[in-house]
Amino acid sequence: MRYEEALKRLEAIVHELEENDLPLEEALKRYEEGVKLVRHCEKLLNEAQKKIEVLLKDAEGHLVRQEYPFTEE
Amino acid sequence: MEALARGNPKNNRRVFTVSELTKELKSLLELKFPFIWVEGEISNSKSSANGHLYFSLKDEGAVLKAVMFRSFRPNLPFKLEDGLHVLCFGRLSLYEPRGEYQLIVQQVEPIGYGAFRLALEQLQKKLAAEGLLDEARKRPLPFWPRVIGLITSLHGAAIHDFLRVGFFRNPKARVLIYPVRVQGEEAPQEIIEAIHVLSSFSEVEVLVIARGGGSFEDLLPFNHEGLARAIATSPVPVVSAVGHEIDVTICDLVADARAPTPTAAAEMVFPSLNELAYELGLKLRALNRTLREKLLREEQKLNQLKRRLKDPRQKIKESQEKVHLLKRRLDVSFLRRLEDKQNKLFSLIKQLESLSPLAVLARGYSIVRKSSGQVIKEAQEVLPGEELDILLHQGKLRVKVKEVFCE
Repeated sequence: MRYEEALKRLEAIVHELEENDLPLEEALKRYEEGVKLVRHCEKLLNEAQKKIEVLLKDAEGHLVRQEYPFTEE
Repeated sequence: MEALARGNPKNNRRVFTVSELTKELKSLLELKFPFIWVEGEISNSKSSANGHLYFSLKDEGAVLKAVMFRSFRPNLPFKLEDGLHVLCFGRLSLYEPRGEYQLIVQQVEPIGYGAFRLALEQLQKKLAAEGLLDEARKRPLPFWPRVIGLITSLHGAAIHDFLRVGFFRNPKARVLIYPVRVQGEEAPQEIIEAIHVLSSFSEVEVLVIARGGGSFEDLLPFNHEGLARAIATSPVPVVSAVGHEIDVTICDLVADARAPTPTAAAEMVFPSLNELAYELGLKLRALNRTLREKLLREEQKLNQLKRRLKDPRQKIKESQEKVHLLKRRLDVSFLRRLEDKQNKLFSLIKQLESLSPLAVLARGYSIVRKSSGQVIKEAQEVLPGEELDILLHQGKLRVKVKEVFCE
């Protein structure tokens, strides 16, 4: 699931829990789902991999993907 | 006047027919000025029914007639308007039937900022009429693009600014760069190709076209109609980050989002991981809080129900009490009614008693009956010597009739 989807679902769950008309069992299920979504988002935040590439043409004019060296200085 | 006679060779005169002279002039003109650039101001421009453009080029001292044939019109980057200062490329020719020479224009370039503005306005109008500039067709930028496609020059500040700010916000982002020239005639075509190539990678979810500031001439490539169309038809949203002080470019207007600088563009397409982590923390807290509150509400509900829920023995006792009470009320009312009935009976008995013949006897009257029990009401009912019974208040007499007197 994409980060923003997970976040949207999480918001919906919090909203649902704020409403009083959810049976307790349902509420607990939603909470459990919400916690899973938070873990998922944390995973996405931590797992992403930095990558900068540049498309360059080789001698025959074919495009080649290459690492692009970038330092912040 | 004879001497001036037409074609008289004796006078050693070289006499041309109009056609001959015109033909000579035509070849002279065309030889001397095969292809030339002419600078001037447009006036009297009009379009003919068959699609050719006629206008004049003028300056303070002279006027030159010009025509642009229909086949060359696609080369025109803007609509010709009177007053426009332009540079025309073409050849000189002479139209014999009219004896007029004119510039056969193949290419027109605007000169100066005014022309640039005009070209921009015209292209803008055209694209707007097609709906390409409508806000409604602009797509939202992805929240966290898998890969950001960057179209820019590898030389210059734009790429550096963009990547520096971008990776500060999201140190784990992924960027795919397609290097292009961002100025000069080749630039639009290279940028168009970059849009096609980058958007063909499924992971590239947003494109950023970036260049640093520049003069309006530097920005000419970004007012290219083909580029505008490539941006409009790009399968992924495009951010235009063409930094400049003057008006917006067509590229800005067609793009799904416009950033004033490459730095601002980076802020648009790189989500800040720190901010995300912070917001996620808030969400988790909200989640915990809402569950806690939910549990609290459930507990209160339970307590309320508990209060309303009663011991069944208590209920039985209450019922019994109620039955007792009813029974008492029933007894009381039953007794009362019994008494009423009794009273009524007694009074009836009294009434009855007062009417009874026995009561009359008590007052001194008597009843005479035959032995058969028949009550005697008239003297003629009996015969002398008959035995009769007389009922008194106390006791009874048996008597014999001595004599009968019938009135």
